[in-house]
Amino acid sequence: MIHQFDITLDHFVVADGKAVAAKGAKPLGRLNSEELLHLLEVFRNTNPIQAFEAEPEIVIHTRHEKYAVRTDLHRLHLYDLRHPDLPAQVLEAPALIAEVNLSASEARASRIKSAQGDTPDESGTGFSNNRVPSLPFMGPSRTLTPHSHAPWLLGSLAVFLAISSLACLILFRGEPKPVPDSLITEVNALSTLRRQLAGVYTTGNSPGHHGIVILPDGTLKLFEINRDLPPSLLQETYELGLFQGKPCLVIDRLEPLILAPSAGTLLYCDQLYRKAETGEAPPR
Amino acid sequence: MSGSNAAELVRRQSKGGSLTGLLVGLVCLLLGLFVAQQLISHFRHKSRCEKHLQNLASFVAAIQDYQARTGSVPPGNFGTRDFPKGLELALAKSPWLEPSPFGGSYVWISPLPERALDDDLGRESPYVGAIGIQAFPPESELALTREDLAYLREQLDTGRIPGASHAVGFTGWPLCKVKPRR
Repeated sequence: MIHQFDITLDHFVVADGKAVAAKGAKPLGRLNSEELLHLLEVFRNTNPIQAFEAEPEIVIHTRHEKYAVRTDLHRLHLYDLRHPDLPAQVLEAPALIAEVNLSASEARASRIKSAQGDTPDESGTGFSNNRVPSLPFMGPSRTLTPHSHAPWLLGSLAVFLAISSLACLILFRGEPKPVPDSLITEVNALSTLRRQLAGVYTTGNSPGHHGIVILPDGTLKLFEINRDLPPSLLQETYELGLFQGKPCLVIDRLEPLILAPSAGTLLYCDQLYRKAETGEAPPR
Repeated sequence: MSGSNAAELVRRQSKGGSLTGLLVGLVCLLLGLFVAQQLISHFRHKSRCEKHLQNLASFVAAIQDYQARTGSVPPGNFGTRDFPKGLELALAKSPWLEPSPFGGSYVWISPLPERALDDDLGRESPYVGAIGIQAFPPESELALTREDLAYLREQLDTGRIPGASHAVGFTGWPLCKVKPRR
């Protein structure tokens, strides 16, 4: 089968074999495979510096396809203009012609069928293996290129790292802080409960015992009774809430909940605090 | 369409691909940093816990020695940063007077204040006291997390230090309760 190709030259003078930036696109006419092979060889031998400056190009039209051939360091780059997202193939002139006249892709299809144990129907395909030039490996495949692998590899790495991060969070997270079931925000209820809870609560009156002074202004003092020294004090602000239906004070500590299980008692860090008699002065 | 346009499209595509790779790489880097930060934080806290446990082991041994030798336990040193009375020599080379790995200072609590949950069975507590950490102002706050507390509890309650167990102390500070040596 004789193939014909419509050729247009851009920035290239075929007679001199020179690349000229001032030379515009010029149709060369219809060439057969042998003529195209000669043209490509001439084109391939373009001075690389001229090729770099003028960017010469051969545009090849076939019945259904349109290609562009460019050159740099005596190499030929084939672009499929109908699929501009595909990278160029660097080919020798015979292999390039085989790509353009589709015999290369048909040969690949034939080899795939052979590998699958299916005898190719040569009469149906209209070509003979003898006519297909022996093709070296064509370099990057059109569907699986190293370039197209990179995002997938990086994406897989990102997914792996995301899963690792989640695992770290799950494995290394501390125990959750106990939280009240709800916070009391209604002003009247808040001030009433603050007044009811206000007072001095202690676990005892010996050194090492602890106490809590609740003030109705939303602050409290945690203290420890010392042997021969004034009590050690910590000052906090508190919010009021409900925990399992009972009032509680919420503070910013490792143990954030002070429970009020009944009137006159507090439960904090497993210690029971009892309200001191009225008139007992809180520690300063 | 000219070949220049095709080449330009190819160039743009190539540029787009590298931009995607850059963004994905950036995300990977951020995730990697996050994982590294989590790991570093975890191991930093664990090393603090380990140092604290080593300190406790030496303190518990000194207290148990004193109890075995004298038949009594040193009185609590509430409110001071001194050695417990009678343990001055035993603890002289220990880090008792240094800040704990979490901040604050060590304190010996004895006798133990009554604890609400210890009274349930009405039995006498076998513990003669507890080593605690205190951080009352003007000392620095404790840099202690709930994760640290969970690790200390696990280590002490599984027999890491013979005769010692964990308890939650005042405001959640950790306590190491001490039993006499058998």
